[in-house]
Amino acid sequence: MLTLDQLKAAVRNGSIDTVVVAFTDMQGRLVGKRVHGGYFVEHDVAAHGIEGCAYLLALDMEMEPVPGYAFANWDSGYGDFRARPDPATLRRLPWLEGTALVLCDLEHHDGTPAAPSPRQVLKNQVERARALGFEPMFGSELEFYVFGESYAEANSKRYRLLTPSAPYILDYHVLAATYDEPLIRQIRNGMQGAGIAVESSKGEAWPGQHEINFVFADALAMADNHVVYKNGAKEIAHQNGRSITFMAKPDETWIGSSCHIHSSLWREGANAFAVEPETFERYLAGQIACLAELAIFVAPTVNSYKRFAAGSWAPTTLAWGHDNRTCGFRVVGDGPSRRTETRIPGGDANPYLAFAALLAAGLHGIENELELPPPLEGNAYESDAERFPAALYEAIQRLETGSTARSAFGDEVVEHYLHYARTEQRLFDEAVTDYERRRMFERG
Amino acid sequence: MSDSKGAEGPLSLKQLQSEVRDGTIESVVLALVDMQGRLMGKRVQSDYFVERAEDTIDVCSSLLTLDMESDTTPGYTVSSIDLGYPDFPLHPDLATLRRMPWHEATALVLTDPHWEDGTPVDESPRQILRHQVERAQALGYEPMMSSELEFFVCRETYDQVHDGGYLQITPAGRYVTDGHLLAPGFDEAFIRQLRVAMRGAGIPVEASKAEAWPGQHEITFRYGDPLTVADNHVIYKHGAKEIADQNGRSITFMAKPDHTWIGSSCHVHSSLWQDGRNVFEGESEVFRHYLAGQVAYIAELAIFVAPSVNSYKRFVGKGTWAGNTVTWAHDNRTTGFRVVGRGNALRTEARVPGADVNPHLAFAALLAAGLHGIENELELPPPYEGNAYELEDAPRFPRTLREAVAALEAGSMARAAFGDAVIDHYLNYARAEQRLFDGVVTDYERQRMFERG
Repeated sequence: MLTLDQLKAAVRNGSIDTVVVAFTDMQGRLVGKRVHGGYFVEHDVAAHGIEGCAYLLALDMEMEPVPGYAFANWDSGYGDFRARPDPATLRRLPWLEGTALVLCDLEHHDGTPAAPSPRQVLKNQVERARALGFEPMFGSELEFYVFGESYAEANSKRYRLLTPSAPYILDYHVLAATYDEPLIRQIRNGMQGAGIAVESSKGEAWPGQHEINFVFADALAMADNHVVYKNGAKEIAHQNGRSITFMAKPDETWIGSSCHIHSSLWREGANAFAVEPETFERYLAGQIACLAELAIFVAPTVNSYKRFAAGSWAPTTLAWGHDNRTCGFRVVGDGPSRRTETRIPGGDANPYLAFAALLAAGLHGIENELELPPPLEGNAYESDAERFPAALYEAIQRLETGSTARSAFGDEVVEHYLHYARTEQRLFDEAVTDYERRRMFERG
Repeated sequence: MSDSKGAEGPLSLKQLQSEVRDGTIESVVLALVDMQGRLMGKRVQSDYFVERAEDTIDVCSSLLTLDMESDTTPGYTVSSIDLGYPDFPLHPDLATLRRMPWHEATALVLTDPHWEDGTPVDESPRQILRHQVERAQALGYEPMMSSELEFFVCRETYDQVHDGGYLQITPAGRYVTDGHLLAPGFDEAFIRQLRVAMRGAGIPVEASKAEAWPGQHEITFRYGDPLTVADNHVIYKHGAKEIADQNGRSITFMAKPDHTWIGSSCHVHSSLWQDGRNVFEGESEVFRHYLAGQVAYIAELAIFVAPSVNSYKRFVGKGTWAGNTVTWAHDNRTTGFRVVGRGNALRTEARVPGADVNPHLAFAALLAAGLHGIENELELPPPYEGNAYELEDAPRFPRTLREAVAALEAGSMARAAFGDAVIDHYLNYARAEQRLFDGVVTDYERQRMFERG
């Protein structure tokens, strides 16, 4: 990581000339501006921040301004908000020449935080944990696919008949992963240079699928790392004339890409789950009890729900088990590394929102002393355990009828993201897809 | 007549026998109408058919449980893997015997599936329509109906569209030619074949015209009794695709081939007759109750007039020419129902159905709703004046197949009209359509998420 003084020195000696001033939107993308290093230093952008159009928290994936958000709309003239850098996130982006990056929090003109900002949503839950005496620690494991085509080629082929980087399943294969190693190594080393502590990379359960793991961290730092990594991995792929995708389910005949999320609560530098079994049990009980209501925060797109198929390594239920990969929740690690793993989120999750949802659910369990149901033994796909919503429209219904999310996040945040999810569903319901044409063009 | 070219109208069994003897007809297509409105069956050598024309022929009962991919779907009681997917015998309906002039030396006859004990299969679309016609007749009415199918003519062949992943489809026209006589001329060589061929197959053609999007056309046929018109509809739709294929073209009757295009409708007209006279004349009580029933119940019966996930994409947006509200008006093309015609020609037009309907089911649903209105003397709400797309509080037709399934689950009129077996069968169908759609990854998602997600 870079301190502000180090940045100033680097700008002076010319090794940094560009600072990406970025924040994370609803979709988990980095948006913002590239500020000249000299301007950043001379005008103390670190303190003052930059202005950005508030519509950036009211867009869909196509950058269409979506009507119906109280936060930003035509009636309010789509004004600005301020993006104020968090100096603790300042870092070099080694894969971009002379470039550093800093992440921001969003605030209104009067300095109050913008409630729907994903980073703010997570910060509020971290504060809530701290008020209970806990420091939440998180880890996210993102899977992705590597293709032979560049993004431009993939787009011109309309994402059809793409070439996976390996022609067979390379789960744990060292040899097959070697073929992609020139790219994967650049990503590992790029991230290490960006202050993200890398653990390892490995081949995954479908042709061309990989995973890179990072050392767990406090919730906010981990979510920051996640979005910087995801953005950077795509940029590095682009530099290599390749494309990678973090789509939850790029094709229904393939394995999906997950984003398993590990979490534990720490007290005074030690994992409380190791010594407070009740804390652990109530936390897990809360995650199990509330995750269906919070589904849109861990599975935000129509596509997310296509991962959840029997025998797919992606769970279908809210069951939990000890080191059981068929359950929605897997308990892993002994003693000081004891933690819950949620296997439900996919590669398309916004980590701030997903972490916030899991934390809110766990804390709800602790505050209400929820009782942990017995663990599931055997194959959860074949069990009668409660199902996670099977479609975005079911997830919307769960959030509409629940009350945990509103009390945890506040009405403004829940209304904002309900509108987001309803819009995603509506746009999908209105689009004609290749599936329909395949099915109906000739035979219908 | 020894040359089937130019021969018109239905074929009697006697004519068929003589044409088989002199070699004019070699094959007879024996078809049933499946849930999707497709023709399924066998091609029978004509000598074999003639020898046993009034006999039955066995086919697999799975034909009433298949999805569009011809995959068997679990959950049906008429046929299942637990029953071993046995056969059911098809009874030819000789009144439907006709030539297929676009196939050399070929005739076609529609059939009805029966059980081994001779009772008809209630879930068969033709049987469902027949029941509603009988219900009307029991009230003393002869229903008359017609359907107006729109379709797109595309430049690619079916093979080319398939090989391109159904991503690139080029309408035959370059601009909207609604009502044009010049531009349709470019497609006329093909469209004329359709008109002439259908006439040769005993389907009374009225006219063809270009429609409201490049490459879109409509051919209309004379109204008639519901079963005959629905039979004609499925034969026409089937034949039009075959003739397109023979011409190295493709045509599609998808309700909405592309969300940036206008959809293809299947407006359904209906009236009730007594002693050769239209009893709707003068907007009679019967007319008012009938229309009131259609308006009141089309939402509950939605899966029968809009059976696919795609059907509902026609209703998106305003000013699409597709009726998306449950409203009615006199000669108003923005409402769900339009009252058209004068005097003896007065009739209701349902603008909700799209070209992907199974006409037997759509006719049965509209008839059942209208008859329910008559039986219960439903009161007709006032007509809507103006642009119904701007009507904020108008009752909406279901926006998705999911909403349609929920409407049918919550209602009771359909169960009373069709019986539990039929409703459970088609609910299973609609739920399976939704489940399959929810399980596939589409180009829309990849376009949206591959790079940016």
